[in-house]
Amino acid sequence: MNKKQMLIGLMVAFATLLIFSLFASKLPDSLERLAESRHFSGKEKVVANALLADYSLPGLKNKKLALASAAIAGAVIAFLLSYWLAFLLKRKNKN
Amino acid sequence: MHIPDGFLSDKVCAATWIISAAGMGYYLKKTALTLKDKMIPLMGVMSAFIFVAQMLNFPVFGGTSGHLLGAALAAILLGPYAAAIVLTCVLVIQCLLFQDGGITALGANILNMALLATLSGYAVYRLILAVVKKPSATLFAAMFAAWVSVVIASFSCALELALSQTAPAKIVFTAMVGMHSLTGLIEAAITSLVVSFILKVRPDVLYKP
Repeated sequence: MNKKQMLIGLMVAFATLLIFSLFASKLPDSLERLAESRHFSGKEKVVANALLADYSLPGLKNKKLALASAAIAGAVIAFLLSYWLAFLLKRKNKN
Repeated sequence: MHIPDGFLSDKVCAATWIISAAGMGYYLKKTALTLKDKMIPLMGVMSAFIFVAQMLNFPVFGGTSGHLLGAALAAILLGPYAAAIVLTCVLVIQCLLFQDGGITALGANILNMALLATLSGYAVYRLILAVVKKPSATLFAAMFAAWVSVVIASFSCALELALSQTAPAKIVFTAMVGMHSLTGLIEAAITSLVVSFILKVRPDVLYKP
């Protein structure tokens, strides 16, 4: 498998994952469910308001579009952060 | 499994922050020593995929959903140290940008999902490969490692909630570990699928200690 094929493969995989994530289940997860049943949901506090809280974009009304944009933004930032950290660690090792 | 702010006691928050910070400090050093050039882009790609995979909630049982964790898969591809760094990057972004998981609880979330899940998954994977010396063992090892990683993370999450006296221990453990032993089955299936695909197209990508 050459580099180009690899890149196309990754893009297709990513797009598939992204489409699936748009139809993700909205049911509460086990921790949220537990908090509801044991009545401690109210204990949840917001220490600081995040920019893209709950995977939405401020000003974007279409929820699916907002979710997709949030997913892509998050994925790109995650890629860059890990890549940058790995790059720094490698450079540190060479010195 | 992302714990929000307010569910954990101050003591548990402080303790888990200290353990995670110390753990990550050690892991960063270890990664700097063992990192290979080809692993740098892979760390980026894994972060992006795990970020989206963790958004993908699927119904599990009784009106509850769960999502993929990706910790065992990351550990199988990158080794335990780099995998923990990848998971930590994802958790930090989820917390700071998307308010998924609390800031005071970030130490606990890193401990559960970045440190313990990758470590337990990797340990199980290596142990099975060491005992069963057949190439076909890889898929079974990946499957079992994925299941264990999810269950261990949920166990540690339950322990933190119980120690914080958020809810009675028996109920917390039953709910969290019980539900995640089911979620873990999906994690196991997807992890082994991805590993089998990688074994076919790019077997060199799998981490070799």
